[in-house]
Amino acid sequence: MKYINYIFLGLLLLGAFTLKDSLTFSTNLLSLFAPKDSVEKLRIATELGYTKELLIAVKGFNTASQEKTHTIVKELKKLDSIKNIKYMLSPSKDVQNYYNDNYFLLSDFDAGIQTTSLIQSKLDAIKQKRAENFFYQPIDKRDPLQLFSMPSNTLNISSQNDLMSLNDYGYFIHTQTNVTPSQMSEARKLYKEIKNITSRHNNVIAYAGFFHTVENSSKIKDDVIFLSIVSIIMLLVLYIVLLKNVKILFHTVMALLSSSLFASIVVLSLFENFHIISLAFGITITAVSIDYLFHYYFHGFYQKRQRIDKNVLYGFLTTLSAFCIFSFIPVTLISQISIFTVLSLSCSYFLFTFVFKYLEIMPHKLENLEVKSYALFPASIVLLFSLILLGYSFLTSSLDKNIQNLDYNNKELNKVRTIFTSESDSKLLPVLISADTPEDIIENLHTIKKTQEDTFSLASFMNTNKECQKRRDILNNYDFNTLRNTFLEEAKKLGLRETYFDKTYLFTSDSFLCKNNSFAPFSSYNLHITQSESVFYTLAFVRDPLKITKYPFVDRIDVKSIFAEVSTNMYKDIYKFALGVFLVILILLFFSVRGKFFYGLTYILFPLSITLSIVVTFFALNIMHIFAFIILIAISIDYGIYMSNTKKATQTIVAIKYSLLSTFGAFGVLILSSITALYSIGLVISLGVLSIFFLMKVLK
Amino acid sequence: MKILLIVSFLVVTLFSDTYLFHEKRYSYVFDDSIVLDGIITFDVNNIFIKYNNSDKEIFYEDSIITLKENAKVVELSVLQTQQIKIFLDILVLLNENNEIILNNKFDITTINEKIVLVPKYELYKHIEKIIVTRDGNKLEVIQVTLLNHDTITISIDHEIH
Repeated sequence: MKYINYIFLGLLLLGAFTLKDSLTFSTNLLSLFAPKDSVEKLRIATELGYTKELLIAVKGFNTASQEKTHTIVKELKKLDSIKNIKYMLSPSKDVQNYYNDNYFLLSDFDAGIQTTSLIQSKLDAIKQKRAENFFYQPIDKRDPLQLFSMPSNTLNISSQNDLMSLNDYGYFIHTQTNVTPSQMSEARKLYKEIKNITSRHNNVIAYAGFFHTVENSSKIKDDVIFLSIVSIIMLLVLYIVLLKNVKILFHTVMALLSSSLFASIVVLSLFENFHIISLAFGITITAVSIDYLFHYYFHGFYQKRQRIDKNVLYGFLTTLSAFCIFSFIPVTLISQISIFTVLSLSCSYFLFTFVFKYLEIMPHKLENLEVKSYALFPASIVLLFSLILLGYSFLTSSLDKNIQNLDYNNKELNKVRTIFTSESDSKLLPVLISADTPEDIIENLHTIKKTQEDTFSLASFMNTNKECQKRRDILNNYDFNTLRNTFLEEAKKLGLRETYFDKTYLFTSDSFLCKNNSFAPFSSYNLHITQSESVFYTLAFVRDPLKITKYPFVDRIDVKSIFAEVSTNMYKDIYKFALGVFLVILILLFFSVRGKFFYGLTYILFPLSITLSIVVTFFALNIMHIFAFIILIAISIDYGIYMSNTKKATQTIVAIKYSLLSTFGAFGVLILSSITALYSIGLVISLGVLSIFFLMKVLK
Repeated sequence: MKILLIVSFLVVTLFSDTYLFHEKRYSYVFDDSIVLDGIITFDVNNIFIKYNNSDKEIFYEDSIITLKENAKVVELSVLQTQQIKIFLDILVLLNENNEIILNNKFDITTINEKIVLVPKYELYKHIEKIIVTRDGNKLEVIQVTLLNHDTITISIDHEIH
């Protein structure tokens, strides 16, 4: 029987190996927070080029900067992952051809009658101006009287010397890549190539969304390695130096591995989209069960014939109930973690209670135990103090709704991003526009343009079908033949070369056709149309997305706003469920400790209130703080029950101290992390551990 | 502001290269030419041009055109600004003889010691070619042939400062 721990783990490994093909997890972070609909819209937006941009700026406007810009463009053109590059103000040949083909229908037209005398005076003016003009100005062969004028298009692009500029910073190169921030290996390859180019030139900055993926993942990796080393050292010191029991360390690690593996096999077999992050957090929460082991170990449970320890059972059932309730929360991350925890804690409880008895673990030498307690305050005072702090916390707390804040704070890259956003003239945000046909898309884009004039979209270049037909009718009804003949007569009288005006106002019935133009020429401006399930989509860049959300064809796609919207509902759900869980904990605690209810409650409320009040004073609460509070409540429930029902206070306190040390070793070290998500967990757990230590010293 | 502009013009004239030039504008449709002359000053990143017998003068720096008539600043339309800018940018490039940028904008060949530049991008819609004659590094003649058969020939004479 002493090998049962190995056999159990072996069976689970065999099970995992057999089921390996059906054990799949999701890695799409958005699916964990954003609703399915938003995830789909973001996928379409990515297909349309959103998040695939790479921005480069060359500081200054002198000749050296110009040369550098041209050299960098040449180098960028050689890269496979670069789709198109825009750096010159002048439109691409395709756009120019589009304007050429549609010139008359896109231009404003002076439909007034051109009398002979009017034409005469206009021609005289042209002749007169030749000598007066400071600079040479040609005569338009097709429209010498300048009846057509192309409305100026505000593209929100600054320029210097025909090159695009980033306002006053320097020259600007805008490129489209094939890489999205979620494509790690492609992102890493292109990142290296871009850094290779920019490092060869001084005063050149580059930014792309996928830079965060590459740089942050390497920083996170370094951070995790550092934290793991600190954590391992702490746990080794705890088990080898303090406990002097390597065997228990070995079996504990095996039991935790088995519990995590058991829960992983069950959730991955039962759930289609179980997320890897839920899996990782669930595995870490499993470490909470170590307190069962310490309680058994220091109370000599493994040497007794007793089948169960009621205190540990009550603690386990209360924690289990809390996570069972949380598993019904409509917040995917927390419900998945809770389901995992219910399974892994159950397995740990089973192993520590029923399997460890057979492992021949030697009892701890009791003479080493030393506990000093000052017993300064009664539970009622501490409870009152805790309730005041909780009241303060609820009144002063604020929520951090930007989930992106949880990421590694890459100051250098954020600084570069700020240069691009603050120096940019446009400051326009993307929205997704949908319609049943491409024509309707243009119609919808013009509807938006009417509400926000500086909107940049396909509507900046194309008219609606209705508008085109209106212009076509005006031109078709105009007598261009008479105009041409009168003009040629007057030009001849002035001695102008006739051949020059071969094409002047010479139109046929086919000249003004509203064509179904291709959208391809505008890809250089990152404007495309795509189709998904019979619906057509495009991007529009607008000043204020909020103002146009009333239109059913508009979807906001900036990740920040999606998360902000989602997180508002998410926090509401968390509050609702936390209240429910708290009530259930109170009831179960009452049945577990009866007469010592308020004493037991102190162990839950004191660490919670101290930690919460400190956190809300200095930070806005984020989802990781909340996650850590769940862990804190889970461990403090157990301690409350153990301390209320204990008949051997010294052993219980020592067991809790070791349990707290191992909790700090597993979670508390995260306070050293530079990643906000991990730091938030570490902060809550460290403060919680310290406050429980303090409570054990001062509570009467 | 006015004083500042005058001072800047003076500084430009004192510390940069100023030349006399003749400009011949041939109009195909009128089949005649107009001849103008004046002074042109090239400095690092700026140009100053003034025609004789004209009250107008132009100062171009950092892509900003300042046109003055009788010492008063004249507002230019967007279209006029774009047209003048293209012309001035070409002058700056040819004066600097910046090969990287010139090669980017033009296909360049040399025929009988004259450099022939054929535009690659938007300029090809208006300009057929530009023929440049140099004396060492100094510009001597710039002949711009337009697609409508008009030609502009600028001959830069001797340096006056």
